[in-house]
Amino acid sequence: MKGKSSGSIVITLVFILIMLGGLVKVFMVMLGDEITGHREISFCREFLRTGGDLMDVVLKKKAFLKTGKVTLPKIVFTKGSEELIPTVNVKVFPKVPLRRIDVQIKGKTVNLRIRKIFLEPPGGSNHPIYASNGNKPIDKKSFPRLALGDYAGYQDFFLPNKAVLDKEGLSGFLYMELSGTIFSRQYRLPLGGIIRGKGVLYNNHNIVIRADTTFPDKIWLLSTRKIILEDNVRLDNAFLYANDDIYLGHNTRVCGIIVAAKGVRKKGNATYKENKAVLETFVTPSYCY
Amino acid sequence: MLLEINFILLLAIILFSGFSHGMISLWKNINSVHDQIYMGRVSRDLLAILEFQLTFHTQVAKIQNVEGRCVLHCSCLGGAKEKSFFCKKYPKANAYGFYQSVQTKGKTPGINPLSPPDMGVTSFQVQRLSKRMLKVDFTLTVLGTGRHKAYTGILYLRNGVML
Repeated sequence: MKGKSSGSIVITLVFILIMLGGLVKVFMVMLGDEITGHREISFCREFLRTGGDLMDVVLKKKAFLKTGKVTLPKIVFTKGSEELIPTVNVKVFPKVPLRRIDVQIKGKTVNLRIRKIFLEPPGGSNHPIYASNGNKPIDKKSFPRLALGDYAGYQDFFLPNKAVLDKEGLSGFLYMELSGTIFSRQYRLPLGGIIRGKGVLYNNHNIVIRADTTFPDKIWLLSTRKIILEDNVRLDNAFLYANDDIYLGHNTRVCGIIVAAKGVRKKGNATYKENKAVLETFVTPSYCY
Repeated sequence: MLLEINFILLLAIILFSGFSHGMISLWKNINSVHDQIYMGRVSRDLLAILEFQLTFHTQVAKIQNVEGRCVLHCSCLGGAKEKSFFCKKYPKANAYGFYQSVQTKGKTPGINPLSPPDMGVTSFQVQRLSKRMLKVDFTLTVLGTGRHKAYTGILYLRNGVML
């Protein structure tokens, strides 16, 4: 009886100890998770900050004017954290009217890529075709044609659909559809009304702007075929470029530059006012891709 | 068997009375640590939301003072959408929470809470440090226990400026 009694006490004590141990363990795991989570977020924050700072330095030093790739010394934020290799890759394309900066910070488990694009009008803003007002005949030989897939590597943002335009407007990026003949299709802007924000819409097919649509901000429409502006379209700060021709519908008002290899066709009382400021380099915001 | 049970109960009472003070303070500490963890999580979430908005998606940010309370106003890229971050009273509690208001131009704004209903945000201050840098201070309070803690974050604008 005595043996049994002491056995029960031991079992109870062991049980209490296990319970306490379990509680402490849970507590420690909870704390551990918290510390890990905090450390990871701090790491990501530092990581993003470094990438942004690096991009700022490249822009400040105007290092984006020449092609080049620089791999910088390795970074270790805290003792024991993973090594990160920052790289700046600047590419200036002599034929394509585009320059880009890619900042990359790569580690074993993480990879941050930030990009900024600088777009020039085809042929450069000083090309003689931009001196004419869109009505004069264009010398077809010297016309700086946009080639198929010139922007193929920069398909980070698709041409916006109704929901995106309704909710966000344009956010200043280069928007394009899949390049290549098989995937090309006409882009028909999905709604009328006012569409705010700036952007470059590039399509390897026609671009159609629906009737009663207004773009109050800076917009570039680049098409390897036709650009069709339906009736009552208003573009206050636009650069229109087409390898084929451009149609301006009834009561259409465009302020900017219109250039089309096969000419501009006006319908009714469409008006066009020249504004060369629209040809200034289009700089997209920095974005992660 | 009865004797055994009585003995164990006696032992439990002795243990409890001996360590009651320690156990109560342990329980309190566990609660306190739980609150600290909870506040830490909420603060990280709120800072991450602000950081996400400001780092790449804001074109212009400005600080406004509305009825003595600080409002951080962000104009999104492209200028079609505007977001504001501010403290506002919860509808069903006598405490302030952290809210965001999103407005697409030409439409009615939508206001949503960002802090959980059992967490109060008693203060929210934004300070402009430079053209592209700002400091955010806020105090979180656990509504059930009243525990509170102040947090600070330095945020950057990569695609915009601070007015």
